[in-house]
Amino acid sequence: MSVRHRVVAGAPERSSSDAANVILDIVAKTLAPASALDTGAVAHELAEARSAVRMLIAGEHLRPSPLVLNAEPLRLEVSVVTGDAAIALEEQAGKVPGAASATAWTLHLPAPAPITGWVTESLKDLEHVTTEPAPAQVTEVDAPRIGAADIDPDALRRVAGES
Amino acid sequence: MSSSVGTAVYTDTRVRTAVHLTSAIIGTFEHILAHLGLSPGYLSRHWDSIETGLQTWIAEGSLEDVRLECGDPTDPHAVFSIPLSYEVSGSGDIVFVTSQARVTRALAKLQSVPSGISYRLVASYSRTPTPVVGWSETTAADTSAMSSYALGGVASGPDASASLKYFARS
Repeated sequence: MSVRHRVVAGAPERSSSDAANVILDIVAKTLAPASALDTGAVAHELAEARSAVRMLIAGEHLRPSPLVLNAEPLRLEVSVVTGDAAIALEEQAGKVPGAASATAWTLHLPAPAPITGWVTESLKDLEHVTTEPAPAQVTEVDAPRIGAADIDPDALRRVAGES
Repeated sequence: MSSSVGTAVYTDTRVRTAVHLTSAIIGTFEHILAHLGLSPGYLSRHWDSIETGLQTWIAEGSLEDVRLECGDPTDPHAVFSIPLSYEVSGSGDIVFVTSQARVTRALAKLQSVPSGISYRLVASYSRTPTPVVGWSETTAADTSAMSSYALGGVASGPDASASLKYFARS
């Protein structure tokens, strides 16, 4: 899995609405090369998610908790900075490479208090945008390893019906 | 040439201050409404008009106060007022600050309101403002008989700052 990060400038460089548009445009352009995905469905769901993304930005919730696009083999995390950090930011907008072979996608939005219910409610009819936490990243160290010593050849033979 | 560069920087700073405060004001009202358990419907439907109006009027310095009135305007359950204070901009350090985390903590002091009540945003001006689509003339709720509480700063920028006052039924 390829993991990428993008940071978008919010206020005072952009309004919450404009910052939401930038984020959703990044997601749309990132998913566009994936021929297995329905671009119409992607556009529809992102448009429906705009209200929730805008609320998260205005409430400064995308600074500590990024939204996560899971489109294996790509994981894209997008956060928003505000204040002086937004002015100083050298932003990378546009398509993020790595999702061309994706056959599925999910956009995970945080839903922090006190707007948890608002965000969840606004996404309830969507199939690909959710407040469910994104799967944890599996690092090389955490990945389960099965070495030769873990396999019992006698057990395999019993399963195969050999005497 | 130097004066035109100074003017361009001043204008840019005024716009940035307006964007900064508008985002903080909407974020504050959002947190208040969610904390009170009210619906986001009105805020979501009118978000573009609210954002455009506040940015326009803060940038031109005409917005005096914006308030969130909860309940019947003739007898509101609660009013949240955000008065603006405008300072003359210098060319010093540009600092954009928000206090939303502290405001959110202060929400614990709020009295509850009946579920499902309506709410509205009302803007007051120090001078004739630029007209913005989606806003119409009205009369602000009378808070003279309500108890008032200062809840601190909401946000500040080089050209203006915003604070929060809470009016509750006595």
